[in-house]
Amino acid sequence: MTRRKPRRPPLRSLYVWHRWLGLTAAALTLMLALTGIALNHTEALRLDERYVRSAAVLALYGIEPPPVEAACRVDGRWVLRIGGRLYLGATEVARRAGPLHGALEWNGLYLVAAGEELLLVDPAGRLAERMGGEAGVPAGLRRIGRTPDGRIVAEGSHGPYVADAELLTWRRAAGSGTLRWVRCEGSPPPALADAARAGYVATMLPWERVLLDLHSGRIVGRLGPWAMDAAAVLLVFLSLSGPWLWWRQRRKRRARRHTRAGV
Amino acid sequence: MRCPGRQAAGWPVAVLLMLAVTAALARGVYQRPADFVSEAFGGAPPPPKVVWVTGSLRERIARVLGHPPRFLRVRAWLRDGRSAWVLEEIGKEQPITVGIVVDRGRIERIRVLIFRESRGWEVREPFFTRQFEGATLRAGDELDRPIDGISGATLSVRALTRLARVALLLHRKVTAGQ
Repeated sequence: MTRRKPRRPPLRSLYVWHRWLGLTAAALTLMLALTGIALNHTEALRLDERYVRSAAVLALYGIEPPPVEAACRVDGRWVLRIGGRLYLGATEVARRAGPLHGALEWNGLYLVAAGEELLLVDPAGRLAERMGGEAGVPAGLRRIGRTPDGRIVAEGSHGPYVADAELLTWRRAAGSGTLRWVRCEGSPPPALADAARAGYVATMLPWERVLLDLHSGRIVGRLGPWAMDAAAVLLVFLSLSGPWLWWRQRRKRRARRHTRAGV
Repeated sequence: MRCPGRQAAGWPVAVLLMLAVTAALARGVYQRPADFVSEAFGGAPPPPKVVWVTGSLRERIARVLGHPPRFLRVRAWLRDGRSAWVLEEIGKEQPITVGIVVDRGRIERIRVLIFRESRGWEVREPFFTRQFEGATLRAGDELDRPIDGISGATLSVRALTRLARVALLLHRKVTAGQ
């Protein structure tokens, strides 16, 4: 004769499921909740303005410092273009700058020709003004230099133009043979280039992006979002199984009370 | 025969297409800065002059913007107590280029010239920019009137409001000696 195994009550088995699935979902739920709260307050926490500096996190994203694309020596300082950004020494001047054509000193400031624009930079690396076609800078800017009497000259696709004393208006330059053009030559000291490149990397990955990737699971690759989806499904299960268990317990307790009262 | 299911399935696609087209149309140059300045002075603008944003002016502008200004000098077109300014401020991620005319310390007109964001373009509409007309600065470099926001364009509204205050501050600076 075989002994029948006692049947486990279905309620208890649901308890077990609820407990184990709850524990499984807890870690992912915590991550979802904490990152969600932080992302809801992105502006207040300035998550889009704060950048990740951790080498491990940057390596996770495969972020490496780009090379120095061009460098101009001017008045003992170096103007660098790295990853499309402009630097004076290791200080970032502009997040967006075209290819470097040249740089020269002007009234205690630095005038940098990059792409179709002239950028005026103070010695602290602050952008004083960005001048493009709307400011009268010659279209198709190629190079900058000086006239024999020291005025600024810029060559565009229609030839050289000379600026007024405040770089506000430009007129066609006569006698282009006497103009002295500046050229970007040489290489910056390796320590300076490394410092600028390190500065570049330190402003590439905002915390907002990392939190978004943690929230969606993308931080661990293609399977991450599926894991987060699974956590969401577990949460749905828990939100149904919890009330169901509570309701069953409540009914059971009431039935016991009624039985006792009947006795 | 028409299939209702297929028709219903087409709606989300149509809505997405509309949103994409709206976002694409929102970005762009609405008016060239040079044209704005020219129009402000009846087609004959005065030559520009330079205003250096340094010292206490820089500090006040930094307080208005909530960050140090991204410029050290700015161009002003000035004639008979009226001044025109072309200023930029980042809405969410991209700079919004705005033209502002100030007449004797009050905003005469404000116009979005170049909009580069994908959202918040409603700030270029006259129903919004009209609110600034006649506005001046009161204590604390605040506007003398509230500016009603636009849902979904909070950051663009904020950028325009701040630039209006900056233009009024700059106008004060250039007309102080007049």
